[in-house]
Amino acid sequence: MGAGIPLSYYLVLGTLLFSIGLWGALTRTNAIRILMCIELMLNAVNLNLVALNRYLDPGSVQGQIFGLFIIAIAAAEAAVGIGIVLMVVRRRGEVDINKIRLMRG
Amino acid sequence: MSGAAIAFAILAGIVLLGAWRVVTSEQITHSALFLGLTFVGMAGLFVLLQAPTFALLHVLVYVGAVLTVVVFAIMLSDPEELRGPSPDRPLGERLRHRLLSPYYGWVPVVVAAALAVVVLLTLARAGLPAMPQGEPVADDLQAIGTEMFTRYSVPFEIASAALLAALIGAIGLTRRDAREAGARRPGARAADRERDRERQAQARVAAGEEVGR
Amino acid sequence: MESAWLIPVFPLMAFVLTVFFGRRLGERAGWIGVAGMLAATALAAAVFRDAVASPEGYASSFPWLQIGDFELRVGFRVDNLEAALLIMVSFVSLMVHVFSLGYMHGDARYNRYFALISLFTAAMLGLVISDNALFWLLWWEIMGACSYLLIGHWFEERENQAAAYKAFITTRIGDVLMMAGFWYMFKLTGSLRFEDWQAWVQHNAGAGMDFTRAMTVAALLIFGGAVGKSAQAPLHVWLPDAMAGPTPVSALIHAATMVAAGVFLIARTYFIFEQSTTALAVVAFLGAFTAFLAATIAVVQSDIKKVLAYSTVSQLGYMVMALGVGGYTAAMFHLWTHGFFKALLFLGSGAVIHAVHTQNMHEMGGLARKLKVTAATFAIGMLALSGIWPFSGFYSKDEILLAAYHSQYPALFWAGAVTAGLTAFYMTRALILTFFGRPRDPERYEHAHEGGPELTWPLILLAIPAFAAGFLAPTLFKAPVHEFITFGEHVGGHEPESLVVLVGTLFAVGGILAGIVVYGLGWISTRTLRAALEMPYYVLREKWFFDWAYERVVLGGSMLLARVVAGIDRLVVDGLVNGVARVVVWLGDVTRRWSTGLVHTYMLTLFAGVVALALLILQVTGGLR
Repeated sequence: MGAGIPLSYYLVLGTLLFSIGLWGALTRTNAIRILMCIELMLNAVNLNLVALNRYLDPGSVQGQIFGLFIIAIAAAEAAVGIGIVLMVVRRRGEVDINKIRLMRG
Repeated sequence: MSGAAIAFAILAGIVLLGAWRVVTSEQITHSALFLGLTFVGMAGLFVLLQAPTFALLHVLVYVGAVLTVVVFAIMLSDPEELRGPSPDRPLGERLRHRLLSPYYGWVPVVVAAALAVVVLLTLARAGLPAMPQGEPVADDLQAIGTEMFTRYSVPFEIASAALLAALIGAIGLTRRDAREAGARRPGARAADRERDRERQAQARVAAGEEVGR
Repeated sequence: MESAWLIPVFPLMAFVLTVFFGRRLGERAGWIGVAGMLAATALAAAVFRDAVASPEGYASSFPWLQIGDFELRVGFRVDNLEAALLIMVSFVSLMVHVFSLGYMHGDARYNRYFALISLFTAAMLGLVISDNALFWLLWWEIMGACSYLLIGHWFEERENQAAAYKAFITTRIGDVLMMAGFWYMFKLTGSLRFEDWQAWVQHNAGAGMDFTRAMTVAALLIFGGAVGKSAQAPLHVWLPDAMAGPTPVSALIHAATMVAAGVFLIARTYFIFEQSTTALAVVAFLGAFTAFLAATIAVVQSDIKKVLAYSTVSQLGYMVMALGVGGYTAAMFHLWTHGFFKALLFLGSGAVIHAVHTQNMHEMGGLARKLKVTAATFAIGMLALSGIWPFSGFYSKDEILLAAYHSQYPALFWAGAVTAGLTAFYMTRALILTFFGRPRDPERYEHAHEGGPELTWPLILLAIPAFAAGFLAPTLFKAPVHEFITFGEHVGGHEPESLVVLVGTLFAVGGILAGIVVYGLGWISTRTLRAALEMPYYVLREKWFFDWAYERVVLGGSMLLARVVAGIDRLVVDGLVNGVARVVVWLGDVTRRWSTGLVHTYMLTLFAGVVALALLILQVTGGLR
């Protein structure tokens, strides 16, 4: 199982996924949507990690361990990020980041 | 085409489709659901890569926790927003806006594309082997567990601390502060309600008896 | 003789004590200085006696610094010449100190004055016995500094400040040349000690053109120092202006000591000059020219101190000229006697000024009746300066004229003779205008009175050597002067020639008679003279236009340069600095726009940066494709 698929396929998929997520994070105005795009990017990274682990060093699980840490931190980040979004909603009633320009210099 | 290849094609399609719709859905609830779809697709890919434990954990955390939180957030934010922006601008204009505006148009595309190109080039030049270099670990759950608690025990602890910090931070962030809700001790609400009821009852008694409740 | 090094220490200690305790002691602090000088004089006398007794001198040195291969030995040496100078300097300084007790009484900065003249004397004494260029420079510079401080003693007046600056800066020019000369000698010989230089020079004597050229260069550079310090043309301009300082200062510094240091410098390094006929010629002619020049200017001065100042320049010119024609002994002997009688003359003028509160001779007159001691001693000094037998000046000036006569430039002899005539003339003039005739300012005349013992005794005591040092010298030295003060082959000197003596005396007496005729008897009125010699008179009044030229060229040039540099500073330097500031502000304005507050901006920037970095790394590690 899993044989016959060149490594590059996974890596290209990961890159595409990351690019989509990046583009979405840069382009959208809804804060929650941006957070979701960030999750996409993190996922892409995980894909790369696991794929490389499987193909280059199958005898170890280092890539997966790394990936697990990423999952954990991603979850934490999502939680805090959502918390911030909710706070902002509570104060300003907005999730449009264009309208939230408190740090304008 | 081998079974694996077909599986890969399907899963890749799901993932990409999901990701695309996350970004482009008009309704944000749709985005959340597509995100879930993407996560599931990813899990499938991990299984294909013979990392079932990882896939399991991925689903547990992402779909089970992250997605849930996201959905909650969507629900708690402005309902207006939920309906999405009104698509009253004609397609031509939207397209032109997309192309010309720097923030929302071509610059992000350029940046994202450039990044993709750079990464791909690097990977291409890295000269990575195309096929797996060996057999995967037999019992990956055990392997992960062992590694996690021996070699990576310190990062593990640090990650736990980070999670704790995030937890406390999230709670601390979202607590209503005293001024907003009026300083209330826990259980005060119940006591307030009790008091209100008492007063109402007394008022009724004073105002002339009705049916004693 | 071994303790000769102590001689400068006494006044040095006096300086230190005066500085620290002067405030508490008030005017009694002057006695510290006097005490210091007494000790120094006594010791100098002892050293002199030793020097007279033993033919060879005494030298002592010790290694002071070791820098790599170079070892710096420093120390002192006392020979006949130094012994004579030591006693002269300390005695004169002692007289000046005592005189100052009275003269400077009531001055606001009394203690500073005394501290400085003690320090100054210490420096001169130290200079005399130095055996190496380093110490020489040290004492030399200290004297320069003290001179500046003392000339500017009454610095409330702008002119006094200016005079002090002028003195310092002008001598500085000479100092730089001297230092260059010293450095050059160091480069040639690898040592800083005069005896090493002498050994080297005499070892390499006659080694050819290069050597001669090197010696000429060294000699001329060192001569530069003498020109500055001893006020030879064209650096003589500071000495007359230096009269702005208190008169005893003039007596000490500008008659007997500091200005003599320049001449002494030439003597000290005479072995270098010997090797270069060119240098000697330059020295001789410059000296003669200066002597003549100054004497002419002295004739038309109204300020009694200025007369004496120009006289000093002139006499120094004599000494320099003498050195130029090989008259080492003559020059040094004249240095010695000049110290006595010039100091006497200056102190005498100080007594006069103290009595009538003016320096302008045209406001004086007939003071001989009121200031008997001053007048008498002044006359003695004047006669000595004019070179009249048997006063001391006669002997020393005669030696000089002799040396000039026997040199290869007889013209110098005649120049010297004419100058001697002029000298006698202007001194007679000064004497008559001040002390004889009708008092021109009755008010001043009324109030004039002789100063106290502090003012009169120094005059009397100085008059003794002024009178007798000439003929008593061989007795004192227990040897003919030529043997006592000598330099190598110049032993023996020249036998007195009656012609020289005759001519010299003739001119001197002639000068005095002329002075009496014009100023004393009034047979030829000054008005007639001035009318007849209108043009020369103008030139003389303008001091041969030296100051005028300096002002135009040096000052004008410096101001121009200063203006140019200031302009550059304003435009270029400030422009640059301000320009940088403006650029920075502009940059700040531009980059401020980056903080839009929009998350998008930040994210875009972030990822754009990531891409850029990645590209950069790719490029660096091997290029794309």
